[in-house]
Amino acid sequence: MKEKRIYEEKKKNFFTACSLEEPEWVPVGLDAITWPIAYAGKKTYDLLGKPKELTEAVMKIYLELDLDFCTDIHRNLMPLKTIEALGGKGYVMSSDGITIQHTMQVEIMRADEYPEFIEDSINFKLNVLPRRKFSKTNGTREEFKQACLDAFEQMKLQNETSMLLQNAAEEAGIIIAWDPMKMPGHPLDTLFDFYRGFKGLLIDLRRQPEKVEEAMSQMLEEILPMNLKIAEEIRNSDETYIIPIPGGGFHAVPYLNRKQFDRFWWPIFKQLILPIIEAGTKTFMKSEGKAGYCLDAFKELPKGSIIMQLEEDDPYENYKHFEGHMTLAGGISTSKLKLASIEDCKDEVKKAIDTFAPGGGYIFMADRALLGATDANPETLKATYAFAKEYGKY
Amino acid sequence: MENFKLTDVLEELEKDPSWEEDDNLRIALVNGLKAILMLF
Repeated sequence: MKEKRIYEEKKKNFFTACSLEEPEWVPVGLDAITWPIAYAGKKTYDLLGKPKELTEAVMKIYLELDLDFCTDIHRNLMPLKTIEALGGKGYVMSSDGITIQHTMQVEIMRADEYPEFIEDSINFKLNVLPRRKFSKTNGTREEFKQACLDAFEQMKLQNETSMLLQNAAEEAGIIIAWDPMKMPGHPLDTLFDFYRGFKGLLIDLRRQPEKVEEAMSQMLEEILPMNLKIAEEIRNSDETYIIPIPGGGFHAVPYLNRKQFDRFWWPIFKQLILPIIEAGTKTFMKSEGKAGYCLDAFKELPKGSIIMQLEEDDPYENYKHFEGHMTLAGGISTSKLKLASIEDCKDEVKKAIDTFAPGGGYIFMADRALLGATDANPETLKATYAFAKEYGKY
Repeated sequence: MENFKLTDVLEELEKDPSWEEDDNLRIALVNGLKAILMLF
């Protein structure tokens, strides 16, 4: 079982780094969603619902790189076909046939509907809002039932793909940040992403903040018991998990000011995440957009519990919030992997490892997920990653 | 549009083994579908 031994060695090394101790080498991670499919010369839509073919395509780049860690291998499984079976348009294929786009930055819920949401949130979310999003909820009862049965078939294929990807990655010795228990998202991000949209929610925070808080309290009441149950399952499991932040990253946070962050986001986040951290996980977070203004808040969480990937914030400027407290994931921008020379990328790797690796608490990876075919030059990426693995030996 | 509650259909599917005999899988699929209906 050479593969199993390699996997266990990498896992031990990874957890050492994330526990803010010096590992044997700097763990190297890949954050990619649909780019690997393009790299394999395939189109995403052609592979959805085909577990073996999709797994084979996705794994091509993962097998060619000497990786320790990956983030979004499961997100190739965006439930596009399930949504289509229900007549939904929340996610659509882009014209390149590779990337999948979220189209729900609109106000599915109206600004005056908070009272209805607060009074019976489950009924509102399951009997009212879906009728505005899924065409097959608006026909006969039998038509909806058939749409559900069609959706279940797609979900089974998605689950099968998920398991194949999970197994293939582990066989390749790659640790995955994933959430097998499906931890619910932060209520503010859920309102932002799925109900009120970008513009609607930001206006609500100014015009009716108490209503937003009431809605979030209602949602928290529903999800907190689920989180506590997940924490219990993790505590009783032999497995050590690296769990991605629910929803994948900061969504509303980059658009808030510090006062709003302190009032609407941080207290609820702490309630949700602390039981999960205390159960013994490491949580991987993507700071999508600019979120440097709030990073000092994370010092309230236990040391070594968070792995943070910075997207638009300069890691060198923000390292003061990390050092001795949480793990920084980053070191190269995707724009460099796309446009710069291999030598320039290697210089960037040296600078990052020299700065961030001493003492542990550092994972080398790009600043954001690779999506479309041109998001990175494959030869540059392969050479840069190989160099990071070699240069990152302690 | 026929007047019915989506949750009634979902509840019926959750209890109906004719489309999926495995109770745990059936419940998990219905819960997964609820999440998709609520969010996506």
